[in-house]
Amino acid sequence: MNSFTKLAVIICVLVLLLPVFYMLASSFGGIDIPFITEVISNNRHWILLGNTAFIAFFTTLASMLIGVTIAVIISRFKIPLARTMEYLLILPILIPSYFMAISWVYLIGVNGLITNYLKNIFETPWMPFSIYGKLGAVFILTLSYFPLVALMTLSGLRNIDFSLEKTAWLTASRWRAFFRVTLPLVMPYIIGSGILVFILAVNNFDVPAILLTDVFPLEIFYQFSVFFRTDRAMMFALPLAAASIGAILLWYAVFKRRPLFTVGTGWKQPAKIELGTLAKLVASGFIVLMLIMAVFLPLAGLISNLDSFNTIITTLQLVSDQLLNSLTAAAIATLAALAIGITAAYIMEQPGSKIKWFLIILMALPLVMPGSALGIGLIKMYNTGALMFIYKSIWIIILGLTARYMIIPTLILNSSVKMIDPSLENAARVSGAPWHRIWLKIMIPLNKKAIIISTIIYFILALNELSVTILVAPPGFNTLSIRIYSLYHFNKNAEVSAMCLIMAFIVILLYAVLASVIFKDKNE
Amino acid sequence: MKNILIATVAIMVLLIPACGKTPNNEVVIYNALDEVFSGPILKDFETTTGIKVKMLTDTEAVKTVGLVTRLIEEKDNPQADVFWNNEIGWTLVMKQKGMFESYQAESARNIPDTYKDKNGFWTGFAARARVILYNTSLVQENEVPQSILDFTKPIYKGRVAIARPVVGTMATHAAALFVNLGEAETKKFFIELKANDCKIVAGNMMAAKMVANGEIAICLTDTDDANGMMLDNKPVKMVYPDQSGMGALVLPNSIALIKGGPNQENGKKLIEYILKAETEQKLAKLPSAQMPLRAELASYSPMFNLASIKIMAIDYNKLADWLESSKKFIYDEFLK
Repeated sequence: MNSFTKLAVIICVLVLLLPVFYMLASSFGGIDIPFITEVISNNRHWILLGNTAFIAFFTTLASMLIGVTIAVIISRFKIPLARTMEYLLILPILIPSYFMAISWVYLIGVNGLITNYLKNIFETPWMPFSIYGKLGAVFILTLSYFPLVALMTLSGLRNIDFSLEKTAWLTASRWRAFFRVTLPLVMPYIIGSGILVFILAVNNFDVPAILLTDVFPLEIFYQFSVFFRTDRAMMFALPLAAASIGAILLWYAVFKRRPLFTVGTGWKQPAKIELGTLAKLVASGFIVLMLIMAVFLPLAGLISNLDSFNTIITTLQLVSDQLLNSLTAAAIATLAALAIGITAAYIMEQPGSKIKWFLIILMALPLVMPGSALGIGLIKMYNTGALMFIYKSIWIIILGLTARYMIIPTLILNSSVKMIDPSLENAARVSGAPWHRIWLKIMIPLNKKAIIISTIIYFILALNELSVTILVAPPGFNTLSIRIYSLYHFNKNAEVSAMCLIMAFIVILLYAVLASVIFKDKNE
Repeated sequence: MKNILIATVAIMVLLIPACGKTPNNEVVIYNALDEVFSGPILKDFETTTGIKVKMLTDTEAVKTVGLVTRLIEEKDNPQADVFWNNEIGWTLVMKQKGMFESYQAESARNIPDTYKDKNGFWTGFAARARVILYNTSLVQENEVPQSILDFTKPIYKGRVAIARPVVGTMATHAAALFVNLGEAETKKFFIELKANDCKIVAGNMMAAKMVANGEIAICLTDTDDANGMMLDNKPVKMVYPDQSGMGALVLPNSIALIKGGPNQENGKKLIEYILKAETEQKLAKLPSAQMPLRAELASYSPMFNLASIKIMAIDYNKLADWLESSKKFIYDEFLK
């Protein structure tokens, strides 16, 4: 890649960050010491911080345990319908987590279907655990986020040279070879996905609210939406932002060295291991159980809300404009974020790169700061003079979406880029290949699996984004996420369910098309 | 792969102009009432006048805060002409912030003065009321609370839910209590309510759903949420609170002309249209059961007739004065 392109991408990142800089400058211009003292001395804030830490930590832990287990089962063992299960794993990410919470409250809440069923059997109110409270929030958020870990780990497992593990079989058992050779190689993906789950869990307050648990992001909401104190909201956001950025930096510090082994093209994925009947039953049963809890039950809830199949058709007609708007904005933002992400990931892995730490922190800022702050920053920057044409068009949403999540493809692609042997690129360069040819023939093909998974995750997040979009959507330009939240409030359950199912269909189709284009090798 | 990328980019570029077209003869409305209800009215306005309406909606999930935040942040360069709020609280706050232009609509002359700003900064129409909703399987008829002040009684310990009293209509309700009961009495009420293990939930609809699903016995909510549950045949009933005391709080929709909006004249035409009796009648017939302020108009059903309810007497100017300090008290003492 030539210096001009690198510079262009860095300028793009800085432009995307302008609203963030504006908000940081205006919020921390005058530090409010008495307020900070009051916050620190108030016990409520410590309790809320404790609740948030508990929920985020255990959600991350549980998601990683479940996600990695599922990824290993799907990629290494012969189980029926593995590819179908993989596609279905997208659904929990797509279904807004508050739907998941509501569905489960209907099932095991105080007056839930299962609760009442058990009540009839035991003749007393009996449930093994209450859905309400911190544990309930961990349960729901884990169901929402474990697929992120599973999909990213799967991407990692498919990106490494299986011959390394195979070589280890000469001196070690298969299990030992897997744990000592393969697992360390995919660890950047596993930890990276864990960090993503942590960031999403630490900022979520919809699910804890439904489960009657107060968390720290609620304080940010109060400052923004009740008292209109953006500066104080930003101060409240600091601990969560610091924790998220700290986690990202720790990840990067631990995995900053290139792995000793590299990815490449052309090698086969391992032949899947044949399991005994009982083991196959347990392995498949585990994935099916998780899919039932995270996909089928919420999905059944959504489908049961539909009056008939016609509801989907009528809803599609009702929201066709919003759907087109959302798909357009999400698609362009995804392409932009992928281009920025892969370039940033490449720059970070250049030997002697001096800006990688700085780049990570900068790119993470829009995600770890409250979405409302980013929205206000965009208004301040673009609702003026010559930039008004951006503010009044779809581009303001695209800017917001691209900025908000650009760190995610960067992290995923960095995990992939750091496994590519620099000698491949050097050889091409020495042979006189221009940089764009090196990218098209080497960098993009070698990172294709990470690109697919980044595309899917980014596209889903962009489709569902609300906090920034609601502040910057131009008049007359509604998006699907705004519509869903609005109709949900007005108890239009049938339309909301139809919209979720339409989105699910589109995203699964996208994943299937991308996968069929990329996974040409039958063994993959 | 390369071809797919090029094709995708090309399609996106072709789609963009369709999303950003701006006709000249237009009016921009920031609208907190749901598009399902307001959309047909605005469409009729377009057909009648030929003026293109560009609407920005909000979601009750964020309690109109998206629109209000945006209006405040755009204050130096307003993009909206009209603000249609589905209640009154934020309208009063924004009036205090000097964001509205005075406009006394001709079509609103038969709306009672109580529901209009005397200087024309906002006009109310089509109201909702605050009601007690209870689950008929969990609450006996003889134990249904008749006043919100009853919520502090031991019999209702842990059985009542309310939305956070710092956002939405619950925030307006809290401020109205400060106006009506006085500061000391209201503070005492909220402190006792908290001691009685009142559940605080994210919104009025959520509170209503919890009651409908039997997760909680009683809640304080709005008439539209209550009617939604009744239309779904949930085991719920509603009562207007304090009919032998201070009365039920009634919260009208409110509409205002934005100061410095880009299409002021079209904004006035739109306000005139929305405030017509015909529009209020249309809103009254929708499932949200908005209650007409004009006595001569028919209501959704006898249950939603303002004439049959004892309404809390409220001075909206005083209510506006109390909104901020009410929220501060609730945040510091009730939500701590």
